[in-house]
Amino acid sequence: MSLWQNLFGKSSDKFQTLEDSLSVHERNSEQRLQATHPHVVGIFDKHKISLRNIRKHSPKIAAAAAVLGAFLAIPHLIGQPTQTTPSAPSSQASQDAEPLTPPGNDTPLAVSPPPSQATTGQPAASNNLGTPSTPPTPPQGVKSKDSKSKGHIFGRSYLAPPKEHGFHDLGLHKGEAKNPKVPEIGPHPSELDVNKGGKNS
Amino acid sequence: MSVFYDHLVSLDEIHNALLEHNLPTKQHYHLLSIADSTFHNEILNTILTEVPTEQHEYFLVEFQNRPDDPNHLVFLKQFSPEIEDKIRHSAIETKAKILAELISTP
Repeated sequence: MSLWQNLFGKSSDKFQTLEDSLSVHERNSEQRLQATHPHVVGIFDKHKISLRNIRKHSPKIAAAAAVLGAFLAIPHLIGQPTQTTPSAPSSQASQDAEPLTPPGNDTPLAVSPPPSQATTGQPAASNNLGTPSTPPTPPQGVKSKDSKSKGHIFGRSYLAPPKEHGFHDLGLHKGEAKNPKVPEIGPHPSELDVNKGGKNS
Repeated sequence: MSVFYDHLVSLDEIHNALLEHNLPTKQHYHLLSIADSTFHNEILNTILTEVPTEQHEYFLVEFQNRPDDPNHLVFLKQFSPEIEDKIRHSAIETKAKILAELISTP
């Protein structure tokens, strides 16, 4: 019986005693606050402020931020970003779309297949005259093939971080066009006349 | 989650006093939260006494939104430069009462 009391009975009694005594202190302090500042009750009710839960509010905000951050990070992690290049204005978009349609075609849907499709077995409409049951492949199929090959845009993988540092604008990257504002450095030391003279002598 | 005046109010002594009672973890932290709430009431009483009444709503809403923001102390110091000492004094008094209660309980 004493073991049982030590494990459960006594501790629950002790807990009740301690809870009662501490609750009295809490209630007294709350009453003192409300007596000194009676308008605080209205503020607490208006904004649903609970001092006992004041430490529990911020974790909710942190959890919401973590979930939002995870959703924002997922497209980059799985390699399917919704938009890789900034959207151009409509006039520019129409100019960009022009090369897709050959000059003789009026309908935008009549996209001529690339020459590689003839060898890969993608049947053209003219070749399918004998088999009318097979519908011609819509242009969406061509687009999906194109999108499949867009794993690397401008030679960069989706998994690589975007160039947001701005240094490429200054012409600091290799293989990119030189910045006209940056003055060119003189010829390489091996091309100087001094070196040529030294070699000759 | 911490509160901006935690460095002025230490709950360690109350935590240690509760450990002496060898309570289950859930009960232990329930009692600690009651003591913490008592501290909040007493310290807010001290703070609101120092701050003009028209600023009370603004401060309480900001405190609820960002309880751990140290800028609250900067805001309070505009009205009472020695607010930290007053908070510390209020916390010591409250702690003494709670500790006396915990120690006197067999």
